[in-house]
Amino acid sequence: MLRGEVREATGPRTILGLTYPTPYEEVLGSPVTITDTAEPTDPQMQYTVQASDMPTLAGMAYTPLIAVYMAGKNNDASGRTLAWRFVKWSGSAWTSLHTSSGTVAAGSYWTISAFAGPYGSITVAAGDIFGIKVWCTAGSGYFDYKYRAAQVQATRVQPDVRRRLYKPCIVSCATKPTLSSGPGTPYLAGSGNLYVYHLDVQYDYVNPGPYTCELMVPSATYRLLRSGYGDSSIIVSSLATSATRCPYYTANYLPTQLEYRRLPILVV
Amino acid sequence: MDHGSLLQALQRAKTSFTVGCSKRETDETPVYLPTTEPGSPQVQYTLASGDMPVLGIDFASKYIVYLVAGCKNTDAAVAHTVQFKTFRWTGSWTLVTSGSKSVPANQYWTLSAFFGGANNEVAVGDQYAVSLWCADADKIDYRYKALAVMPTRLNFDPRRMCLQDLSVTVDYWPKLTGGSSPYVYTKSELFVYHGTKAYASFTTTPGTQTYSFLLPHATYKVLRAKYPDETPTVKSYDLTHATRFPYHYAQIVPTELIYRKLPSAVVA
Repeated sequence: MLRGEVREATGPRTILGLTYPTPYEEVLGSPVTITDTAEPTDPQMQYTVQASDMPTLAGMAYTPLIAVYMAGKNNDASGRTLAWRFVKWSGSAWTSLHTSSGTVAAGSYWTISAFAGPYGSITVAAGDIFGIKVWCTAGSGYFDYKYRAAQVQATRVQPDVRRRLYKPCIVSCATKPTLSSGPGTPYLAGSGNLYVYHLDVQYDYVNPGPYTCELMVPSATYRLLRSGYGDSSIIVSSLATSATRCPYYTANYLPTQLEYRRLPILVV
Repeated sequence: MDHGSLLQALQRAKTSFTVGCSKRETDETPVYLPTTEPGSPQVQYTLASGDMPVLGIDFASKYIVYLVAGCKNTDAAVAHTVQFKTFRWTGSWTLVTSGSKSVPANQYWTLSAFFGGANNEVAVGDQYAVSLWCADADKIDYRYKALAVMPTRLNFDPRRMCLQDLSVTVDYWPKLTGGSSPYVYTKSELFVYHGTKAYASFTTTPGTQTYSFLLPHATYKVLRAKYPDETPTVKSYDLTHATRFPYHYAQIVPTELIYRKLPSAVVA
């Protein structure tokens, strides 16, 4: 320290663990044959968010997002196009979040991965219902639906409710969810990055970490850590197909541990 | 106010300083280029103390050197090729880069040559030079030169100390007035570093950006010039134009810096 300088005490080293509930997974006892040749009124796959689905991030600030999965198989001898719409129940009607379509080869599995969160200003809370509608304009009975999964995740994470100065901040992360059941072999197709913010700039990403930020101040909007799918990424839902992989899904890198020291500086 | 509070208030007081750059610029009596590489470079500069930037406060900043050379193809009908080499004196002339360009009939040619940055220290007494020649006799003449030295890797403390409420005001340099119609082709980016990477940059001038907390990079400090520091592979650019002369590169440079030091946030 140079003469005349005043140095405030740096706070103690703090280690916080972030845990996420085991994802909800269900292999349907009886596959549902997709008979719709036009968009159905109600989604064949629905998931209601439970209070117990929320991540455990004690004392931290975060915004929930949800990852929803629906999977099945094209049982026809020809490749067929599957259309889908990712929706949320508004209380009186299904609100569209994203729609698209894709081709599934003969005899192949299909998996739709869908994310809803701050991207598009979608809130996620206990009691919310998310769903995926699927249909095939070419005809009835080509596809079946036999698996669903969901997990509530965290984005816009920071250690404190207030914006503080951290020196350093070490972020560890892991791919979430890890799906372990399904009609085929569960397989991770890809993961969204975990972005690190300093002030209002997307400073870097963690993939897979651990990542050391020497000195960081969270963004006023995105906080310190922002998830890829469902928040910073424009990809809302996507289709992956495989002869053997099912669910063949996309996930997010999520923070699992933060290690830091606080500086007694107020950030406004 | 007690002694400690007074010290703290003084410590947190804003510091401001200005950065001033100088230039040398000469319109030469036109002389046709030799048809082979000359034994001694036509354009030579030895850095004097007056060439160095004036920094209000500085700890171990580095410098970059821009040397401009200008020619004209006086042939009203035919394009001719100018060849060049740039040198740095290290006991003998050490080649930095070389090249050639076809200059359209009756057009000007301007070379912007970059030195310093990276691991090449720049100091008073250094010599920089450009050799010019044209295989076609009495077609291209040499008629202009200029020199400017600018700072890079600016730092404001011998340690890596967090700067609070840093305000950076920039302009571009050099502002050349000689030749026939001086014109800046492009203003090279000035990068702002935080932690381990570039955090922001200036691409236009004049301008001011503020950062509430910034930690200097261990090597690149706070502000880093593009050519030839951030992009050391580029040693020169040459341009032709019918009327713009010199038609040159410039570097965005800081002109005023205001900040507070945060002694509690020193990173070793």
